[in-house]
Amino acid sequence: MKWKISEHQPGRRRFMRLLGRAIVYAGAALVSVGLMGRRGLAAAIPALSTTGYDWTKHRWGFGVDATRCIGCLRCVEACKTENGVARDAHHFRTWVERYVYLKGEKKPRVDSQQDPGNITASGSEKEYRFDNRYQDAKIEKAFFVPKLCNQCEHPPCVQVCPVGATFRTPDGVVLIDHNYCIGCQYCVQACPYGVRLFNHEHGVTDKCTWCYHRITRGLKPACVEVCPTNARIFGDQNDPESPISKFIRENRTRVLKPEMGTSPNVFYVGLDKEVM
Amino acid sequence: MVAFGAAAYAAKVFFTDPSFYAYGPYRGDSVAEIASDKPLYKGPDYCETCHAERYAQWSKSGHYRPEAGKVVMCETCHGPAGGRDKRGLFDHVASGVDHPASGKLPVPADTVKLCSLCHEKMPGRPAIQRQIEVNAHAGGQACTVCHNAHSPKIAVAAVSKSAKPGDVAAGKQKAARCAGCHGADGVSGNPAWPSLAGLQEAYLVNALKAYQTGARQDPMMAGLVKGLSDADIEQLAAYYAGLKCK
Repeated sequence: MKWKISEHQPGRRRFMRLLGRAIVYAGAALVSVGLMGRRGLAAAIPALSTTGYDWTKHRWGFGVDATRCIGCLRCVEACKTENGVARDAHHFRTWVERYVYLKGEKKPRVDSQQDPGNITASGSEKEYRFDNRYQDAKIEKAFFVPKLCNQCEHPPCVQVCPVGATFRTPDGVVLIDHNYCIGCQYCVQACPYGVRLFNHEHGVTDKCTWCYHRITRGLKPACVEVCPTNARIFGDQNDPESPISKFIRENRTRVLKPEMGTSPNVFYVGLDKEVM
Repeated sequence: MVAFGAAAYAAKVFFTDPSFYAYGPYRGDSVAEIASDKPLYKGPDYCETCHAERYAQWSKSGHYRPEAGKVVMCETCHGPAGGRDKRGLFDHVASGVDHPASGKLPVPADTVKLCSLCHEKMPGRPAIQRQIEVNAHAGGQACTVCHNAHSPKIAVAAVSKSAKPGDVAAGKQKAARCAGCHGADGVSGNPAWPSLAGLQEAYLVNALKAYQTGARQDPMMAGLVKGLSDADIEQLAAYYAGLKCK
């Protein structure tokens, strides 16, 4: 193609011509990028294909049966070990809350393993246990509730990330690319469930991944593996015989804060309305 | 303008990871990086390869009844069998040495502290969970004095199965030196010493073995159980379990 533009062409026409070309090239570039993106989505993750894992074939889901939880906190310990979370009372990817309604009180008293009383009972910030502070109290009702990332269908935390460091995979897990995270903590504020934590040691945000390195190998998340009472249920929602599909089918489940429009993928049984 | 565009494009190519936008507005390679971490918790099947005896006990015990939702895994108490090498900042680590090569897994020393994590009577725990008043239950004694953690229910402990028909008679002979304190027919006449007649066989075996290992301490009993073999203990237990407490 001849690029030379004759001298006697008026400046405006010359400019319009250049602009036209620029628009055509830019359009072509955008389309090709778009096509590349779509092709990528249809395929399995190349680097994971050695394990035979295809992320388009799964839709993971998590169930919590609060009527079974005994508050032993083995899940919290296992999570910290499996994922290298700081062993202190301030960083948790998953945690357990205790709700206690005393007789004559309308609102529940809520505490979690990081409560000072519970830290005293465990003996150190590296170990976790609930103290028995209500053993002599008059109790109307009490129960434990495990909490973790809801891996929302529409995650607000992903929307607000300014650098593309967090994203939702096609198999339904919200992950963080720690190499791209700049530690601005917008996502920590955006999460309606408070499940994101800031890793003060490395200056990046961290969160529950449902042990992505385990579930892509066919294992259960660490917290589900060690739960002694089957209070935590995990499986593939695409498989009607998986534990999570059965759990959702056989129970009246609910999600946390449905009014936020986030479509969570953690399904709870046995919660009071006070549990947010 | 063309020069600026070219510079901008070059900058974009240079600064953007090639895998960015491979699947969406994020670095595609990060998914495989995150998934490359080595799992630590390996599940009970891994333990079975070496600890088949313990596995057999546990898999028939009250600590493993999946249909009742009781699934106390090996690693729930012992911690993860897998190991992972430590590396620098943000490195996902796919290598590591597992148990047994990495060394012994910690056997929880303070059983009262460990077992009471689940079994301490506490408001909020569902009724189906077995719970005890820790101090009233055994006065702070280690849980393993009476219970086998791998098969905690005393009455069904696997140890009693090896008792043979002749055990009761043999046990009666060997019980002669117990009779001084615990009574001729296992019925004690002194409040300082318990009656033994009619106690669960498995409990008696556990108790005698606990005196041998030192898990249960008593200056008198420690000397008496020293010379007893496992067969002796089973015979004594079979004898006393068969007696009636009058």
